[in-house]
Amino acid sequence: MITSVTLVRPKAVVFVEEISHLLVICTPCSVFLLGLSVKSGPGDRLRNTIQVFATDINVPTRADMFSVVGMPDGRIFMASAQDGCLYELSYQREEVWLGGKVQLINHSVKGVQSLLPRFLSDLAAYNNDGEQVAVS
Amino acid sequence: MMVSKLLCPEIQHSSSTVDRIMVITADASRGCLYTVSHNNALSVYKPDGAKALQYVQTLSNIYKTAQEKAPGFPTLTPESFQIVSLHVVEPQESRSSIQLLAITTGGIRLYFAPTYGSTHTTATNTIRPLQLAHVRFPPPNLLHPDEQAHIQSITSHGQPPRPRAFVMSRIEKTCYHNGLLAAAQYDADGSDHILCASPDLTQIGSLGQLSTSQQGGPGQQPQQIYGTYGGGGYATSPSRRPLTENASLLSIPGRTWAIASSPREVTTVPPNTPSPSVINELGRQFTESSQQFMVLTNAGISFLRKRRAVDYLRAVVEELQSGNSVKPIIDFRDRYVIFLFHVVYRIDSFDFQLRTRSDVFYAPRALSR
Repeated sequence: MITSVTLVRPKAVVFVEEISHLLVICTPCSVFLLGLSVKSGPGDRLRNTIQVFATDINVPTRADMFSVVGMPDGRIFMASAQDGCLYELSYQREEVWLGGKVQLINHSVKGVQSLLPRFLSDLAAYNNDGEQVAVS
Repeated sequence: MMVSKLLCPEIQHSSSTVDRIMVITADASRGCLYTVSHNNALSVYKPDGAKALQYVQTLSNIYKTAQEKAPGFPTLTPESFQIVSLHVVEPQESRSSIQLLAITTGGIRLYFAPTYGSTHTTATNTIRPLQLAHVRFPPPNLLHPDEQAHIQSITSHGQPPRPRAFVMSRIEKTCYHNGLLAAAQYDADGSDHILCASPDLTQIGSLGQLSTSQQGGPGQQPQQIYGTYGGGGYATSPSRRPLTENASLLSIPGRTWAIASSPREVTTVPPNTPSPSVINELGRQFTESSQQFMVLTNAGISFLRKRRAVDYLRAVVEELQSGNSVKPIIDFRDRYVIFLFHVVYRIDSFDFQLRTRSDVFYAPRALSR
């Protein structure tokens, strides 16, 4: 079930130039991005064509995100209904160690906790269904 | 359970100790983020570097500050004070450095502006902390749309009974754009109510008229005092006009999911030319279309259009031509014509209240599924 849809600007040089916007789609168990391109019709603004592209940016999370906002430089922030923390969906073109192409960073906790690999927190979430988990 | 405790023992925390974030808003113009929590704590962050987020400040005593600014105001209660949305006030709109608008479940608008003096410096630039600068209440004399129609029908036959005021208490979705507000309140009868408010330019404009506004007076009510800006470094100027707004309450079919302002083409002015305030539609009404809001509900999309002075004129002329009452065009003359021709006029010095007008916003069409 989709709980939130937000239109944001993409980061520079991550996607092909045609993708001018992104849709941030939140479900209770994941956050993923869809790319949008707008092609204007021949001399007629009313006949623009919007194309939707799947991206491989998809983060499984149980944080149940909402209130998603995008900054002009493409950074994406959101709140978690589960723990009430401020998160960032960080993505880049190349994979990074322990992070892959995409990370959920918890800005409400300090230091290394916010960057712990996802499997740790998923493990914690599976084992503590009734408790709050700060990192997803 | 044990494995997770061993692997990440410190990342879990009790929900009772966390003030949960309810709303996030991005300020693209000033490059910062605002969040508001379940306990009405407003926090400001500044993106700093590729993945860093610099914490700037938290304002956690907003309710108390609002009480100090509006002492004894009856509708200022904890129940009406849950902040449901944050809206950025763009720099080109605010000439008094107002930066952020928060709206509560009771329709109270809280305006925040930077403090003077202390600053917060990040690696990239400097941010001034925010403080509550102004509190604005919804009109105390709002009428339910059904009662408005009832009174209009009664007026033609006799004196209407004193209407019951409609109190905003369950606002869920809001939109703000260039001084215009649309706020949807859930109603159990299957239709939402939209509170619309706009500045009354005929009252707050300054076109060189003599300043005839006075603070205080024999007919002044407690809420009328609060029509002026005040506090927090914004010393109330005796020459500042009282803020007057037009407000209306519309009934809209369905449950509101989202409200957004429609984009429109904005007139560009030549460089080095003074531009009228974006709030002042009188300076733009012949070059720009009227501002529209789109309201997405489970019944379709409704469009709210701001009625400009020129639209108002057209409506009253059409009303006159159809052979109905001349009162609308007389009202229009009293409100606008004197204003447009720069003649000194005496404003009602006691009219600090938000006045209820049903003609400010109207919903021209609804697209049903």
